[in-house]
Amino acid sequence: MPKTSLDTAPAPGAHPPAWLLEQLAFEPEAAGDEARRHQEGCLTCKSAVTELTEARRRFLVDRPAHRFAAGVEERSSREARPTAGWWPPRRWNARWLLVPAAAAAAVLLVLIIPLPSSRQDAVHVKGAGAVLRIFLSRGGQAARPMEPGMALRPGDVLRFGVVAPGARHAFVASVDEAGRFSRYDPAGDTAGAPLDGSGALQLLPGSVELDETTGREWIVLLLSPQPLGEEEVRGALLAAWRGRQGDRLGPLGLAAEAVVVPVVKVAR
Amino acid sequence: MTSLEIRALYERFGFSVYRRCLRVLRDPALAEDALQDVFVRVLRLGDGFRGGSRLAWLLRIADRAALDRIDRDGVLAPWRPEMEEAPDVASPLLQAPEASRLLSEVLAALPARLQEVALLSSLDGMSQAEMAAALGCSTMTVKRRVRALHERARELTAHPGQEVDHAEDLA
Repeated sequence: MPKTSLDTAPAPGAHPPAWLLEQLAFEPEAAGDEARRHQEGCLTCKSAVTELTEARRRFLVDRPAHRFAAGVEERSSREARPTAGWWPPRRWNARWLLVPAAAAAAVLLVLIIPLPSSRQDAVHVKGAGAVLRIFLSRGGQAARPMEPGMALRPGDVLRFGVVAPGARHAFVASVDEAGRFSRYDPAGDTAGAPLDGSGALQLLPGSVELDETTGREWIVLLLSPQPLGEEEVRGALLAAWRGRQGDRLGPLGLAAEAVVVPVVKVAR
Repeated sequence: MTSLEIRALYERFGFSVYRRCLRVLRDPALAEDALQDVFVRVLRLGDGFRGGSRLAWLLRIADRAALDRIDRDGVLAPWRPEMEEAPDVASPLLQAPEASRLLSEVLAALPARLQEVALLSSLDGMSQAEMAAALGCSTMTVKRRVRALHERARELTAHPGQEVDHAEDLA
């Protein structure tokens, strides 16, 4: 198969490729000795690197760092909604801490009172037996299972529980009607521990506090034999979002059992 | 990551990140938004940096942020030859307007994994071994994706607007 002109790698022995020149300009310590030696002896590359550093100087004059950093911080606080499950489960944690270990099982029994049918919420459930339960704490009140048709509000704190036979990995994420992807669990870049395989309800660690965004959103539980990566989940959810019809997401195209729960967020 | 660290990171690499977003999105306003997306993501996710080049790490996040915007909007600004000369876009020693034009024609229609390869190949001029290191996968996987990329690019340019079946590209 002949290549297309998308391939711009330089011939061996030619000047360094574009990415390496950029590294020579902005992170020379990572560029490697060979590239640095080439640059020292090559007027063309030297001038290219000077050109890049001068362009950065102009860029920073137009977009000063203090202003940019303030904007990033402001937006991050405004969207105080985590993209991962590392969010400290503030209200939930406080509640758990008050519960003596011996009483934990009893508390769980309260929490897992079955919804009229959690599957009424699910747009589609692939495979058998997997259920995503969403528990909701509003205004610091005790957590309770989210009921079908219940609208969510900014400041609501959610925690996820999974019922799934077999020791599989769970990944919970969402996509909203504007196509914004959020990762809830597992936390950060971690793969997370597999479910214990007991088939009993298992609460996932961490909780999520909703931001001010309103509108429709799809919360998706994915269960897979191997941990899923954020990028593949993001790609699948965005593809499903593009293929949505009404309140149904399109096909996810992932080798994972999926439970999709559409929710609506309204203003306070 | 603290606000001060974000500021230091921006002072050093913000221009590169913006330039990257601009080269992918071809729209200065969208690139500014994507630039902020990148640093908001970094601020929230904390330091997901695993060693190596911080610039490379940020540029991968920038690729993702820019591609997410394309995914969300479903369109990409049309390629304009004069864009190649803009100071924030021009790449010293990389005079490849044909690659830029082709990239703008096919990028939005490619599946995510081929999009990444397309960017590394056409914007960075990376070899397959360099792409494998950047993406954290084997050279064999990159070879397969590059082959699929060339096939898709050819199909898409021969039949503009054609839907692409992603399934076989996800290997």
